[in-house]
Amino acid sequence: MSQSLLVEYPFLLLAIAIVVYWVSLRIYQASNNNVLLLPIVSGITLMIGILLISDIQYEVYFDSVKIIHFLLGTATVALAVPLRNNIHLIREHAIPLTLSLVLMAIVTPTLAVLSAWFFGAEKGVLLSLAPKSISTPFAISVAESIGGYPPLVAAIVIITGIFVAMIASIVFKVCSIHDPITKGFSMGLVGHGVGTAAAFEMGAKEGAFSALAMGLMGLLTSIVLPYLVVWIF
Amino acid sequence: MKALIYFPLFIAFQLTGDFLKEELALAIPGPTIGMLMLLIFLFIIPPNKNMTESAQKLIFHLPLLFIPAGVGVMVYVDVLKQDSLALFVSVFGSTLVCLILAAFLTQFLLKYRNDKSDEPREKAS
Repeated sequence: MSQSLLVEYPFLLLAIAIVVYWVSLRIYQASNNNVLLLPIVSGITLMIGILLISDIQYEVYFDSVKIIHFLLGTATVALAVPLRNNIHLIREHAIPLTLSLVLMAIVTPTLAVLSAWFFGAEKGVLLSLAPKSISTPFAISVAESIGGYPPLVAAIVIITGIFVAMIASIVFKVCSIHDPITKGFSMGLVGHGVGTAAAFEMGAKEGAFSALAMGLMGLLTSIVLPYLVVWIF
Repeated sequence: MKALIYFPLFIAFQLTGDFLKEELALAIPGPTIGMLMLLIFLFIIPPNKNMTESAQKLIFHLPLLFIPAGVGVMVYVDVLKQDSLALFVSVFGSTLVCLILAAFLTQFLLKYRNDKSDEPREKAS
């Protein structure tokens, strides 16, 4: 594939991106929903492969698929609908969920930083790991304010989310956790938007509670983390 | 195709969220502001079946929407290689521990409350 062709016709890259996703989705469905073949994993891998082979810069690719990235924001807004539809359940469990949220908002960044510190990471890397469980836009703005490296943060956040999406169903099986609210809420707390996408695949209830946890975790962490960081270091 | 009718509504809230973020210089991402506003809006006008379907359609394809950002990892391979052991342990190890912790904690708190009382929920926080 010639590079100039793809640069000249940016829609070609967009079309390729959509075909890659479609193929990834089909492979996943054909594999009987094998977590190793999650569409986000094979989609990203295939796309990186295509870009490397045809020697296309990430910026060129991102420019052509901006519309897909824009729709990520639209989908985030649309999460309000399942939240509204499950509001009676959310109200019913408001107190235990709030407690769980607050504790995890402290434990998650602390554990992320401590484990990396133990293995000798430098301070900038530690600060980039602290917001790894909140969605990218939150994480980047927090990282900027506490002194992490925004590009590293973006990579860490997305890998964390993908990891949660991959291990969640196995973890719940091993720990015999069957309650959809518990499943969804914990996936959203630790795996932000990518975890939420996986939670919606388990069911609408799981998804709604994951979306709730994701939103609240993002809000709370970006408020609390700057103070928590002062306390940790 | 009926589901598409509500896309412009979501986009309108998204753009309003982006606008407010810029104007008020908020630390909250634009789409999150849009989501909160749509949630408030839906308390005034509850979602109908078509809107619910529309949202489901969009959310079903969330994995696709993460791909452009995810492909960005390729740019940071060199950065990820430095301190790779610490990053590996933190991103995989601590995430695994946190997911297990979050699940048990949430389960415990939900159960504890249900076992403890059937009395109407208190207002206290």
